[in-house]
Amino acid sequence: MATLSFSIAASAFDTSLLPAAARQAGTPAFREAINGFLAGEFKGFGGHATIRVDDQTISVAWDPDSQRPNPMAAIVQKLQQGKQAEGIQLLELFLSNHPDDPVVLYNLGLALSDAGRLERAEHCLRQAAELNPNDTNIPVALGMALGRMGRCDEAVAVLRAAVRQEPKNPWAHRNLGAMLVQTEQSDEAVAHYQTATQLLPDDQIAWLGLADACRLAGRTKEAQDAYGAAIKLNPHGELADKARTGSNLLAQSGFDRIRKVVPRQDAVHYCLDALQRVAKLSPDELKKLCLELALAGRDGFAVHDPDRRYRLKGLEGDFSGLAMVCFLHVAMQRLAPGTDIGFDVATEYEQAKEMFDASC
Amino acid sequence: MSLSEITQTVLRLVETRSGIPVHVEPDPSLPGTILARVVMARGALALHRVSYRPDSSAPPDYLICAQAGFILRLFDTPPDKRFDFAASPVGDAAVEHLVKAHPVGKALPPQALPQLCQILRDGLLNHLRSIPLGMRVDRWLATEFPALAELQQASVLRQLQDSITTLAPKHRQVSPPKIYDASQAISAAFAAFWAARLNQPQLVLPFKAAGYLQAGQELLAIWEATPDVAENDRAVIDAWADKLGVAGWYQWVPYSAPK
Repeated sequence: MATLSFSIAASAFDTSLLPAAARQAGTPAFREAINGFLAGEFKGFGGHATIRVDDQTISVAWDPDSQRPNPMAAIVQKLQQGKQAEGIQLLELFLSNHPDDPVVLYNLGLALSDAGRLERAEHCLRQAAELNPNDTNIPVALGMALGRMGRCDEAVAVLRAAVRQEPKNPWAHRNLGAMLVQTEQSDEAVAHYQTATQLLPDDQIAWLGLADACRLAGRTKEAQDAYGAAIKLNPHGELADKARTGSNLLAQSGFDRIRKVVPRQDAVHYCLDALQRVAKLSPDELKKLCLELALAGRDGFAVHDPDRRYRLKGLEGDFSGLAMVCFLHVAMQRLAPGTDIGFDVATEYEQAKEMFDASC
Repeated sequence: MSLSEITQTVLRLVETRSGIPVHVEPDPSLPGTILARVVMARGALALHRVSYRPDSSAPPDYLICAQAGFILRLFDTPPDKRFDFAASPVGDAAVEHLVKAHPVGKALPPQALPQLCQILRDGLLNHLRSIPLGMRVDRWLATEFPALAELQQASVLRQLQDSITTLAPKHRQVSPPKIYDASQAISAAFAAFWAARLNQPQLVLPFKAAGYLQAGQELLAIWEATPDVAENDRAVIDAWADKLGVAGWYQWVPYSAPK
């Protein structure tokens, strides 16, 4: 039998092979489940498989003749399973025998950084960078560690150098984007996140970062599109929830800017229309409508895009995103007064309700 | 029969069946991962030309015989049913559309797009034709010339490792999903075929992990269900193309025999 080695993007792994609870890329459960799946597959083939899973890539090397596991691979596997303390202890031990091994220093630096032991992490990563200046992943990890220490300007400088060294390294662009956002340089962050999403079109973290950077840079339309792209990549995970929160923040911030002067009359109109329609519904019909509205708005309504239209069963016509938000607010107030739908149209609702009550 | 005797036998078979001589030569400049190729006699070219990448670690006999097998498949069909496989304007337009909509296409200067389109189109079409036919040739060689088995296995494993390498993120990112997925499904069919023949089930694991094994097995089922007669070769390729959603991306052009 021949040796076999391959690597695939973590986002390309067939998640139907994993337990339902472990399909969210980027989580320890996901990494562990992939490790378990691949280890199980190779178990019947004999030899030794080295499996490495991180948030971006799954790498596998299988040697049919080797019965002796690679200690480094076993350590990395422990770290991926969340056994940080044990992994760090073994890496320190390994390092005492291989003090000039940049791979050991890099992995130890990463593990220490994740464990919050940042000064030691910085020391290891700087030493690794000296020993292997060609590996851009080392300064990328160093930049992250520096950022975690609050030394954001230094982190930005290190990550800028990493981008210069390897302009097509997506992690360098993505982490630089994150650091630039932290240092309130959102405009520049957008450019790096854009590059990261071009290089890694399936990376949900990069799309979420791009969306946040665009939102902070006031680039509303691009932010909305990027949040949409992030949600579409995996609508059911934690990152999608973050994207929905960001999308709601975006909608709310734009809405608040306009509403500071006077209640928005279009929202008043939508609330009044909703009150009139809702008044004709039975309690059961109202419950169904609320459910349908909540489902339709699961990924957020496009309140800044009047061209985007929504339809509802049992109601004639189509509706803008803002109209849908007003509908949801009105329906929920009727069903469970005081409910917060996460979008403030209370002022407009009160004004519309006064008009509605007066007309009855 | 020694290796060189087998090669001579196969080449004589080609010359007898096609009535056209075969010229064989080493070519270290073969592009990319191509180990051997054949240019069949046509029009003014009155001989079949087989070239192979020289490798000091292995004799070229299997590579030569496999290319000769492609010639035999063509000449095993009646003259009026011999066709060449060629790109089509529909395929060109489809690839261009996909590339322009892909982030890589958007990032490239406009003058580089035609070249990228051509590389992606040729890569997929070559794969679509050579894998199902190559598996027919390989099965024939394994049956008729078992002495080639060791060389055949080494070559197949090398091809498989090359295919598996393209599962890596850096390859996936530069190809539109429709083209990439079709190509990987074909590779998965090839891996499934050889995993079974060589009793090495681990060979399909990379494709299983990347979600292409089922598509590959469906292609292989089509291939298995089609009787192994050279006249059916076009039908197998058409059925695979249909399954992969690339029907019409190529055309069958009547073979122009040498004059």
